[in-house]
Amino acid sequence: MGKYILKRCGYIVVVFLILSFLMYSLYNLIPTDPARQELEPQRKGLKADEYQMLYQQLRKEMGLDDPLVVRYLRWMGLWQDTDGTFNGVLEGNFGYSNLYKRNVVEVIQAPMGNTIFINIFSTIASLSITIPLGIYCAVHKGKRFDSATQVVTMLGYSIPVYIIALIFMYIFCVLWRVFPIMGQKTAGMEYANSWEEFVDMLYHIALPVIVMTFGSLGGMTRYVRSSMIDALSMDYIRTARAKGLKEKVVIYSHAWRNALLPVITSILGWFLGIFGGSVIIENTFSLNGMGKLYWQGLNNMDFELVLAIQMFYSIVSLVGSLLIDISYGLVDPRVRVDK
Amino acid sequence: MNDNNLYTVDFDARAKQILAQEPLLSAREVEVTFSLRGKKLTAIRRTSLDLYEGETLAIVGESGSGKSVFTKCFVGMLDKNGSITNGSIMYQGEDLAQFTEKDWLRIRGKKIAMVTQDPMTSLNPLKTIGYQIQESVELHQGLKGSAAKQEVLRILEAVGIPDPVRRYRQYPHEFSGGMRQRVVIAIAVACRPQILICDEPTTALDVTIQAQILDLIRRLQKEQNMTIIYITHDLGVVANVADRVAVMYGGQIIEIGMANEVFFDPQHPYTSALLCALPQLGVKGEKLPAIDGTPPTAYTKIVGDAFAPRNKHALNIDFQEEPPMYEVTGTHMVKSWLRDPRAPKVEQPKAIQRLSQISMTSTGTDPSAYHPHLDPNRETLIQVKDMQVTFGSGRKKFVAVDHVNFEIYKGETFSLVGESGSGKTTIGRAIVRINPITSGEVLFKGERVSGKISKEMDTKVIRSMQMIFQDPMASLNERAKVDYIVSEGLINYHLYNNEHDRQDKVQRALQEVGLLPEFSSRFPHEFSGGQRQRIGIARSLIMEPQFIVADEPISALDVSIRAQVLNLLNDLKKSRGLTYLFIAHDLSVVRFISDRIAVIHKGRIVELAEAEELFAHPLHPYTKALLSAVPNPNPYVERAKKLLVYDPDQHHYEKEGPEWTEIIPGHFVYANRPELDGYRKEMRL
Repeated sequence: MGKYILKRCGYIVVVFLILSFLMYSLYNLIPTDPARQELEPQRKGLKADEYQMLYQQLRKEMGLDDPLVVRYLRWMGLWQDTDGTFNGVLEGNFGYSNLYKRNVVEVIQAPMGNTIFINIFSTIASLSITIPLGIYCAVHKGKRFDSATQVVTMLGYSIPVYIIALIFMYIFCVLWRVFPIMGQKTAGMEYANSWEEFVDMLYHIALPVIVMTFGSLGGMTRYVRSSMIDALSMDYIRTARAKGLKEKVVIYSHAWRNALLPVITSILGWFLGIFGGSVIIENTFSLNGMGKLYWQGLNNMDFELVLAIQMFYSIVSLVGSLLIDISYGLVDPRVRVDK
Repeated sequence: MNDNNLYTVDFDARAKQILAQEPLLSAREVEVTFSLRGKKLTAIRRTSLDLYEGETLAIVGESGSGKSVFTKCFVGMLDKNGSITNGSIMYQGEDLAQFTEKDWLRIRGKKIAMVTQDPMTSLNPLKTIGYQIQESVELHQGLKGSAAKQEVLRILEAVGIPDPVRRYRQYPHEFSGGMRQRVVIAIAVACRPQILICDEPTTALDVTIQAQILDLIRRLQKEQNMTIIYITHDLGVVANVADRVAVMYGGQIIEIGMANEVFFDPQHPYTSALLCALPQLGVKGEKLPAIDGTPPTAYTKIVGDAFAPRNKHALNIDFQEEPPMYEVTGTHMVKSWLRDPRAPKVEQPKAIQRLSQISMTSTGTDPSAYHPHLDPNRETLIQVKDMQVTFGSGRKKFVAVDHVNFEIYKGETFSLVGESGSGKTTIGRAIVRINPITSGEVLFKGERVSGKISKEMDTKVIRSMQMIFQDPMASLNERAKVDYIVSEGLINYHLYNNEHDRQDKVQRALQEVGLLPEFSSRFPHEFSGGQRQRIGIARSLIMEPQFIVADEPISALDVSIRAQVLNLLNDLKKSRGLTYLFIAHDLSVVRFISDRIAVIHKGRIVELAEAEELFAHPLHPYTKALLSAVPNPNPYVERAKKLLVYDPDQHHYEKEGPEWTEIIPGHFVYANRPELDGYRKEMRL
């Protein structure tokens, strides 16, 4: 198993390198560069040829005229920078955000924390609803409750998340006034301690989490339901019943773990979907998260910031897929690798 | 290996014993209905059955006869949309037909247990073997912890699983099919049930494993004094195990009696037709007496005798009124109008008379039959030279076919027999160029067709070599019309002049395999298994091949349909001058259809001889073991047979390697010199 994980980690490194190079090349197509961004404030006071000269000089200083591969390696921290040091991603420097005029790492910290927090919350919430719900529906297939759930999940599945967000905002914030409509903390509030701050934050992110959870309910419930129905129709379930086991034991001891197998594989795609979906959610609710930052970065052509966020998403998916494979091995003895 | 007194049987004494008892379980006028998409389907049509303590009852029937559904009523395991709508099932003073799910927990698994069909899928892949048996032990015997574990280890030992301590911790995927079936049996007998229902327990297994499993069940039955119900379609298995036999057709028991009564004196036309259709009773070179048509399903509306539409000699009354149960002897009952005093007297067919005389060494053969391999002007159609097929590479390399040599002559049926995983299908696929071969070569009419060949040659070879596949349910494209399926080869190679010509060819091919030309506009799902296999045969015939690889063409079909397809294959061979490579695991079928037989074990052909010669003088110990395991439909012969076990370690090949040797003309065996000497002595050469 250890060797297998090592091998997989090796793959991850290779895939990450390829992916980061592709991303770097792609974002280089943005019709601006750090030199131009740097000169932008002085531009009005300069003549055209002066500007051009300064611009060329700056480009040379910043090493922007070097070939793409060199620039990429420099960014990764595998090539000497213009000042002769190694200073790149591998050294923990993701570059400089022109928009915020700070290092990307500093810019990204708070939003990343928020995003991970919100997403983990909504993942746990929706898994703890969808799995029991899916199992219940599978066991009571065709009954009234199952049919009703099918209709509701179909709705959740087919309505886009931003519509759900608006409807929920209208119901919870406008009609009932239970939750704040946007932001992450009450404006102008002074906190006595960090616990109070935490509670206030929970209060603010409650609605976004509810919306995200609701939006992901449909697909997952249907998936759990169908894989549970498959598991229940297996021959070994018949064997278990023939043993004289109670139906409850049959379902929870024999069928459920088998039903989990296909679910595990789908969780990855779905998990990433939640991360992606948070771009919309964060914008709708004005939360300070990665999604919103990404969107702002793109709008302002903040090349290195956007690239860093993109790398974050790639790492989440690469590590996620490794975790899925490992957990698959834990659940299913047939794919356990012993060598 | 066999405890002999387990096998000798005195049916008359058993009959007396049974008649003296009160039935242990008594089903009366049971009717089972399923509701499917608002329709009511009757699967069991008011049938009755008594089960006596200590007996082995076999229920025989084809798919859709209701044999599984009927016995599922005894354990309360009907599917959710089915229910017992009439009748009673009395067991220990209680009516099982009225049981609720809560009541069943007292009986199911504890008093009445079940062994299911496919061992590959009937164990939970995520739980250890130990856990799955222990669950049953803890539930029914009230043992806990290490006491339960000790009991599990004892049971594992009892069902013949070596090294139980290690096996206890293993998962099902680490077990072979036969071992898994032993585990399934262990689960069922763990709670010492009174009645054990075995639903096709050996259908998915190889013959040698089948014999071992049947042996195991018989031993456990004696040890634990169980009453056993076997559900099967294999009359050989029935002959091996059953004291009494019940034949089901169209949701009813149509005949029931002691095994000797049912086998030697069948009263219902269906029972007799089923026995006559056995290839063991067929005369080689003659047609098997096949049953026309297909068995009824729950959708069929049945009036009168359910078998009447397929019965050539049906009486008028068979189509109008359902016959009552007539008593033939105290133990033998039949539901047929033929027992009515007004009915014409019918003599038992010749095949049934032959049944009492057959043994392993002789079978009916038409002496005037033509044997292509004996013809001095024989023409070699296929020559396989030193064929080796490997899969994977490096450490994962697996040799599927190892240095195989044989020749197939024009006009003969050459059979490859072996157990699952022996590489027989791989050889067939390698010859028709589906699998590439690693070394050696294949010659077709003296020209090399393996490896890289020219495009024209490729086209020519594909046209003249076709394949018939095993599972007709899976080998036809469900989304294509029969017309397209049959003519796909023509379309690929533009072997027709115009659209009219193509349709003409399709219709002729369909007619040739006994289907109606208008079927060409239908989809595969509208056909039964037998018809679908005919479509598969038409598909290969339309290319006008000279050579056909038939890969287990009948093993997925119902017993009564098998004879139809076998006859069709034989007819086509005569009318078209075809040559077959027939791949099968069922030796009785192979013996009936083939001129020569090659026995393959683990990728190597161990023996090759003319069919009758092979059965008369098997030399290689594996061939002997295989032949000893073949079920025989004569209960006396079947029960007296001695099972041989093949152990690959019995050869001493480290001193002197074996070689492919022709011991007498036409009889090849894979052996080293000392073994050959032994074989020669055996054959008195």
